[in-house]
Parts: sequence; C-alpha cells; structure tokens
Amino acid sequence: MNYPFVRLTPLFAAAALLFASLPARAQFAGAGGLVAPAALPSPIFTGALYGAGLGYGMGYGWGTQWMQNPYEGYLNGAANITTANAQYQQTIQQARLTREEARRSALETRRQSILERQWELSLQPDPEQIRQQQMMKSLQRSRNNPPLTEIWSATALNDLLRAIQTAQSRGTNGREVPLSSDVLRHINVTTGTAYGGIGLLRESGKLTWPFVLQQSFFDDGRKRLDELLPQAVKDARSGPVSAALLNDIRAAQTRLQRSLDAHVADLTPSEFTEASRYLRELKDSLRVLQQSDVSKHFRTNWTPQGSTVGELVQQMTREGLKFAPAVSGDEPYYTSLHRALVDYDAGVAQLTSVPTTR
Amino acid sequence: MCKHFYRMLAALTCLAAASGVLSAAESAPVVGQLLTRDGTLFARAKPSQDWQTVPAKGEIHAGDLLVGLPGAVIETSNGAVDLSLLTDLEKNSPYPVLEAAVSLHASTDFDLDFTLDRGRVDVTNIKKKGPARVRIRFHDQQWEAILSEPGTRIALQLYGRWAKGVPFHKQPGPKEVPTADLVLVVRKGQVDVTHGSCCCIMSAPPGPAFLHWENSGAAEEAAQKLEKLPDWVATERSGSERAQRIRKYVEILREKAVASSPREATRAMVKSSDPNERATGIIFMGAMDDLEGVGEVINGTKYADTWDRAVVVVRHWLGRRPGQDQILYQRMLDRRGLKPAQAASVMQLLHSFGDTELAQPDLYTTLVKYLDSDVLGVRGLAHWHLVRLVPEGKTIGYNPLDPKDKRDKDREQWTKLVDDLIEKGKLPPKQGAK
Repeated sequence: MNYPFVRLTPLFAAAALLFASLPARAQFAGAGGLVAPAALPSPIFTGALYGAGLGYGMGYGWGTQWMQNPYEGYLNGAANITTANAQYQQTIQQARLTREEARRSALETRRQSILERQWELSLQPDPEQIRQQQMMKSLQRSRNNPPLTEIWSATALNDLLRAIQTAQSRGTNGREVPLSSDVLRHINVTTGTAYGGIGLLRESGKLTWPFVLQQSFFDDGRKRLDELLPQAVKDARSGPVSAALLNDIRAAQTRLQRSLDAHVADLTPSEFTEASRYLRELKDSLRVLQQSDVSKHFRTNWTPQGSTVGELVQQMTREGLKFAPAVSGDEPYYTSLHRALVDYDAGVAQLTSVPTTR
Repeated sequence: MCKHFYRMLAALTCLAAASGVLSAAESAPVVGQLLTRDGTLFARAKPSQDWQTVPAKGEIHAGDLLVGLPGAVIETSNGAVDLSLLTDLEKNSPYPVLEAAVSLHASTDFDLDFTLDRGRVDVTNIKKKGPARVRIRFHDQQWEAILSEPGTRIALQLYGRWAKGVPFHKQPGPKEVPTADLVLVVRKGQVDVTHGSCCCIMSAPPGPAFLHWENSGAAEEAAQKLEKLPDWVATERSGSERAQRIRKYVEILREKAVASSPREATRAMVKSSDPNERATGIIFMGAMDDLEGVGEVINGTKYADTWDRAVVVVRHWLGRRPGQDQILYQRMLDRRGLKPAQAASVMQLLHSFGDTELAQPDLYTTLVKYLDSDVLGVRGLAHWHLVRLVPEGKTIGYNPLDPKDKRDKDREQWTKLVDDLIEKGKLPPKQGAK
C-alpha cells in the first residue's frame, strides 16, 4: 500500500491551515492577481445583481444560510480543513485496521489450508501402503485366472512366487505339489540384472528355429548363428565370452534381422510377427552372454531345480532368482507351472486361515 | 464340314442350356409378391446372373436370392404371411447387421418357407383368422414357428463374423468357421417354435420372448423372459436423424436402381461426392456380392471414409458363412494378380488378432512395417488395425492412398510412436483377466 496521496496529505493540511490564517481577500489574490470581492453575494440574487451592476455588497446582512461574509468563509474553510484532517486521520486508522484485518485473514486462511492438508494426509495411505495394496491386488489377479499373456510374461508367476516366499519365510509350507523336470526345463529365470534369462540358448546354444525362419532367404544369418552360438555357450560355461565372438554373433543376428525386413512382402503378418518375436527373444538371450557373470547362468544354481513347488521356491529364494518371460514354445510349460504355483499358494492360504489346535 | 458340325453342335448346346435356364426360371413357382414400391427389393435367380429390381406387386419366385432395402415387404402368395426386410437403423441391435437377404421356397405345408441368408427380418401373420405356419431355414438349421393368431409377429436377426483371433487359413479345418448367431424375438402374440427336438412356447413381452442360437453350440432350449421389447426390435418406428438419413439415401439408391440397375446404381453411388451416398453404395455392393466393384473401390477410391467402409463391408461379407475366405483369396490371385503371400496377408489382415498376438510388441512393429507395403490392401489394412489398436496414432495423417513420399513421412511418425510406447511399457496394452 503505497499511496503518495496519503503520504502528502499532512503537507496539504499544513499548507491549508497557513492559508486559512490569511485575510479572506488575500486568500483570493492568487497567481492570477485576482482581487477578492468585498462581500460574497447571495447565490439567490447573483444573476439579478450582476445584471444591475450593483456590486456584491447588496446582499450583505440577510442572515440566511446562503449569506457569507469573508470571516465566515475563513472560519468555515478552517473548520473544513480541520474536518478534512480528522477525516484523514480516521481514514488512515481505518486503512490500518483493514490491513490488519487482511493480514489476520491471510493467516487464518493459511492455517485452514494446513489443517485441510493434514486432514487429507490423515485419509491418504502412505506410499508404502499404496504399494502393498497394489501388490495384493496384483496377487489376487494372478491367483484368479489371469490372462495367459500375464502368465507367459512371468508377471503372474512372480506375484505368486513373492507370496509363497513370504509364507515360507514365516515357516508356512503348503502341501507338496509335484513338478515335472520337463516343465522346469522350459522355465526361464533371471537375477533381475537382465531382461530375460538364457532363454533360447538353454539347449547348449542349439536353436530351434521357427518354420518361417527356416526359409532359404534366411539361410545365411541362420547358419552362421548355428555355428557361433554353441561355441559361445561352451565358452560361457567357463567364463566371459570373447568380444570377437560376441561381435560375430551380433553381425550374424543383424544380417538375419535385415533379411527379415527385406522380405516383409513375402511373409504374412503372422509369419513376420513370429519371426520378429523369435529374433527379439534371441537378442534378449544374447544380452546374457555379454554379462561378466555369464557362467553362473549355465550352472545348476541358476537353473530352476526341485521336484516340488516348495523346493523350487526355496532354491529361487536362496539364489535370489525370479521368473523370466517365456520364449517361443515355452508357453504351455508356463501355464502348467502357474497352475502348480496356484495350488501350492492355495494350500498355504488354507494353512494360515485355519487356527492350529494344540 | 467337321468344323461346321462342331459349330452347330455348340450352338445347339447353348440353345439347350439357355432354354434350360429359361425353363428353370419360368418353372420356379411364384411364392409371393412385393408389397412395397418398385425397386425396394433386388432379386437374383443364380449367382452368375445380374441382380434385378422387383417391381411393386412383382412376383417373387422360389429360390431367388432377395436383398431388400430397409422396409421392403413381401407377402406370401396365399396372403397368410408378411415378410419385412429390415436393418439396424439406430445402431442398437445386438449384432451390427447391414442388410437383409432371404430366399423363399415353395411349400404346401407352410404358409411361408424361407431361408434367412443374413440380416434382420420380421414375419407377421396377416391371415384374417387362424395360425400361420412358418419354416425358417438358416445355416444347417430348420425351425418351425406357428404364429398363433392374426397380427402375431416375430423379429429375427442372423449375423455371422469371424471371431477375434481366428486367423485366415488357405485350407481351413471343419471347426475354423465364422461364428453365427440368430436371435428370435416375439413382438406380438404367441408363437410355438420348434427346433431340433425342442419346442418353445413363446409370447410377446412381458413373457418368454427371446430365443438365441449360435453355431458354436446348440440353441437355447427355453426362451428367455423379456419384460419389454428391446428398442432395436421396433426399427420401423425409428425417427432419429440417423434413421432418417439412412432412409433418404436408401431411397436415392432405389430410384437409381429403378432407373438403371442395382449394380449400376451402387457403382455410381460409390463415386459420389456425398459420403452418405458412397456409404450406401458400398454397403449394397457388398450385399449383392459385387466383389469386383468393392475391389475397384478399395484400389481406386480417393476417399478415406469409403476405403474404411469398404473394409467393414468385406469383413461382413467374409463372415457370412464358411468358404467366403477362400473365394476372396482365389479372386485376389486370379484377378488382381497378387502373389500368394500378398493375398494371404490381405486375408489375414481382414481377420483380427487374438489376445496372444496382441500381447506381443512385435505385432505392432510388424503392422508399422506393413505401412510401407506396395500393395494398397496390405498397407491400408495395416493402418486400419493400427489406428484401432494404437489410438494415439489417430492424429498422424497417414493415408494409404497418399503418394509414397508422403506416406513415408507419416510412417516414420508411426514408427517413432510405436517404438516410444513399447519403450514406455504402454504397448502392448494390459489385458483384462479371463
């Protein structure tokens, strides 16, 4: 609030008081050199008297409210200035009060806002609670016939794995659900450092090519990979794969991808999608070969083991593993494992819900 | 001498064949007449023949395939039953039918014996008294309905389509067929419906008024109760802007068909500058099996909306019954000169993708790659799927009919968008639980 008018008002008031102390005629002797009239005429007769040229004095002494002599004008002016001054002071005080009121109101608003926020926070669960709720929701979805795609992407399997791991850590083990070694052979696991596991390389690097990629125009890249990959896997079992070999594999893989792109017109969308998917999975599997701890992926520790669900989960907990997505051809095995995990999980849930009697 | 002999023999053979056709057409008994205006019904005696408009009061011969404009009404020769050919004017019926097609048969046991080829029809007992007996044939089914008293009316709707995720097969197995659904609703009165060994006693709402059949299972044994008639049934009362618009353009088609022929009328309409005329033209082109015409639209139209509509019409055509797929595939090889892989791609894209495929990011990148195809059908259909599967790309102005350099720029945008969405985990979209 910065009004120059308000700041200058005291000066104006002082000047007005000084001005009021001068004789009335002198007051009217302004810059223009006008001379104040001897008497101020009554406004009632102003027109007629002016017209008659009788001067201002004719109306003097009539005693009505309209009549003013110079002294009265002086006193009246002085009173007006006093009133103005008082009004000024009052206005200033009023402004101060209003400002104070506004400040108080702002503080109150802020306080209310803080209270509102606190109230909101009191209703809102914290991020950890939200995370827990989401995990629970996801687990429920994974237990109750999730879409097959969630099973094959390993999302549902990992939800169930977490639930069973939690139960096992509390000492609760479900009933034995047997697992066939054939199923486990098609299950990919990961430590989480790579997107997938060894996936397509699990058969000692010998790939099972889909029909579409067995066509003659893919011979070049395919045959080259068939030569290189078993060698790479052999090397990987004992340590890191050499950069030269990895470069050769990458080059062959790129060549195959280019052949596929070049023959898009010769393939139906399903064939092209199938081939693209296989090459993408191959690319993911090859990433494992680039890791320094690649040898662990080919050892029994990091391959799913166990004859029952309980044993499998214990091994995965021990090794810090989780399920990786299925690669082409693994889907039925993933569906089967999901069923087994759900059965085991249901058994655990039954045990935890029934009170033990001693 | 020998040459002359063969010529004469050939001429005699042709004459004999022609007279055979004529006698077949003439000998086909008259089973009804058209009650509505000239040209509200198109008829064809054989697939090899052209469609003709049926005049008002014109005779309907047994065995003719009849495609009706919405509102066409046929009366049986004995004056016992009305058969109305309708459509889904309000877009609110259970199945998105486009047109109605039937063929009538001569029968001494039934007042109306007909095959419902596809679409929506109403059957009404118009006798002065007594029940009307109706035989309804569709797919491999033969149902009998007794419309108990004058005024009794039933609504039927038959629709077929390829189910989601069923791919195209050059040689499909016996179970690889389009799904087919029939709905029967009693609009007025009481009806006894017999199908197989079941007999349903049905009556108009409130009552057991709804019966459903599908080719993947048996028909329901008992009718479902309805409290009131579904809105889609009373199609003749539709007064919406859409219904009025459809009626207006159907009338234009009728006038043109009467003035020339149904085939010429639809072919002229698909070239119109009016999108509604084009839509009506392409729908009835499909209804009358004018694949040549639809193919010309797909390959030659400059209108994206008509292209889109043509795709829908072809998908409807393919879903009518088993075997349509193979007909279209063979035509693309024989008449359009496509390579087998190209024709198979078009066919596959005319089907839809299943959940498993939709869950693979590779499907989306594949579709984007097909935007670059030299075959208009392939790139157009790839785009048709993409805008539906990745709605974020609707703003990209890709048009399969654009010149290549323009298409290439738009395709790059699609590539970027799809890669970006896959990277962010937004594609493939999360699916609902089973």
